[in-house]
Amino acid sequence: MHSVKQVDLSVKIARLILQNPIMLASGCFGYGEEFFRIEGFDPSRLGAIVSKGTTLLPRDGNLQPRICEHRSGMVNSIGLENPGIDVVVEKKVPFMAWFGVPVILNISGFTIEEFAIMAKKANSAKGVSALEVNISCPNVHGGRIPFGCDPLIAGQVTAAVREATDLPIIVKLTPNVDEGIIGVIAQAVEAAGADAISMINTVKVENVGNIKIGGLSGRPIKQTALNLIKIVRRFVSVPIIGMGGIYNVPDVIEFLKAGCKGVAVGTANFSNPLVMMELKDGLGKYCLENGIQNLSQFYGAENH
Amino acid sequence: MAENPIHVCQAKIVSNEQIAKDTWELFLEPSDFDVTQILPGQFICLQPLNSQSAMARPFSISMVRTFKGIFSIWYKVVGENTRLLSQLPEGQQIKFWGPLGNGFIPEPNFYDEVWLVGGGIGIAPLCFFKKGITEYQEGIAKVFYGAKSKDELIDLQLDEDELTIATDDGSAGYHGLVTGLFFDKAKEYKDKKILVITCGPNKMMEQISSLCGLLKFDCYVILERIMACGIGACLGCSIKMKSGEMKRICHDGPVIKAEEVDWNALG
Repeated sequence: MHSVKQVDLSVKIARLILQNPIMLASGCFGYGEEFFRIEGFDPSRLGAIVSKGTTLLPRDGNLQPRICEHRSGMVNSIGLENPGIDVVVEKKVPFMAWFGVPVILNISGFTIEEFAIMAKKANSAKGVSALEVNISCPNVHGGRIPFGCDPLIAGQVTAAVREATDLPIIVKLTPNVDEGIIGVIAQAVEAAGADAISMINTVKVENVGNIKIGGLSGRPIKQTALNLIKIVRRFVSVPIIGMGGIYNVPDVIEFLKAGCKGVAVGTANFSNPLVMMELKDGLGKYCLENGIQNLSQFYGAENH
Repeated sequence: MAENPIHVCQAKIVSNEQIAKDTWELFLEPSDFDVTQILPGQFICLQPLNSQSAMARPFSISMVRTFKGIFSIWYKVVGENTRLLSQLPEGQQIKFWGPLGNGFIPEPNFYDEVWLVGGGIGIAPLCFFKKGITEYQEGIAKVFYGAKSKDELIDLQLDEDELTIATDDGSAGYHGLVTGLFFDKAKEYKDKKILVITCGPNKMMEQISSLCGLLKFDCYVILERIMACGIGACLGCSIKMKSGEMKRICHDGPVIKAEEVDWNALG
């Protein structure tokens, strides 16, 4: 039995020191005000808080229906309902920053210029620790094909954001690309200045329930996430934040072993609002019981 | 943040009994939760019993028994989770979170009468309003209750002058929709000050609220929508109001002033 007295769960991602690798997945947590009301949910115990996808202008989002369960996961088509970056920076970020853990602002643009403007606004805002750049949005100047489907354009978005801000940049990759190209997309964003990569965004599905086009999340995308992460791991050296169907401690460990430095939890919050607290405690306990002193013992464990 | 905390707790099943066709009453005794804080119109989310389900399961609160520290939900068995729920025995623990949404206590003294119009399982939250109005505030509350047929009717244990029933097939009470029953009654009261609270199918609530608009009755609707989180975070149940404002049914509702609702936006 390798018993240890203390476990260091902290990780360094994109120039940020996180007290543990458990983060929120953007979009499942709003701007924190709602989960804060849950007794026993303490945002200050998380690795980082990640905001809902924020756009340059306020958006009402899509018409109903917006969500439905599908294959043990869920499909959403919320359509980026949010109050716009000015309100977010002025009113929402100060609340998120109050918990003393890094605040990662997710920005979602429809043109490269929009990404750059938002990055500039975030740069001068108080309380933003890093940006997560959502390149799964449709590029309105590029036939509405998501930025993240083309290495060249994904790189251009990243470079524009890099140019506009000194904040650490995490680029969130879409899984809706060919396995053969995702590594190249990851390389392109790394070369353009990304400090980390988060993956995966939701998996595109069509005609589920009454939802024409939506994004599948939760359990059914876990294997896709792990497969793509293992590919990307070989192409880049920046840290990866893994997400997609994480529900329990074994899931967290699976992602860490696949080469992720951080993990994000989204859909699992809906069926258990305290799941992130349980994961944080559970990971610490697992490490104690298994003689793991720090999480670097996991990284890439599957490759050795 | 002046909003009330949301408790996540275990509750013991005090009873779980069938009360009408496909309809059950579940009484819960929460371990660490003061039931007196629950307002009429509010709901709870149950952790899904099917381990493959991704979303929370919202249920209106039908009854609160303050002295016993218990509350009930009435639910219709429609899918796997409600089927599993109906099989849970007395004494078993179940996880829920709440109270959720924006319930309210009407001021019956401001009105000649309060009318509660329920269709199908939409009757569930209205019983709590009824009890609050008549027992605690000595107001007059009348219930209009519609169901497909007699075997779907829940026994509300109300006097004849408090309850009017409609069934689609005429097997009990008025033969027809509860909206028809409501229209007939409303015409008689057109000069009175009436508050209407309604819950049921959208089509029914839309008709009730449009008549209330014509007769200048105040009207609230209790809306239902599939929810993922039930607490206002995921925006899955967000709809646009007539004013253009977005409202989350779980957080800014489920009780909403009828005149604000754009019925087309409910899809």
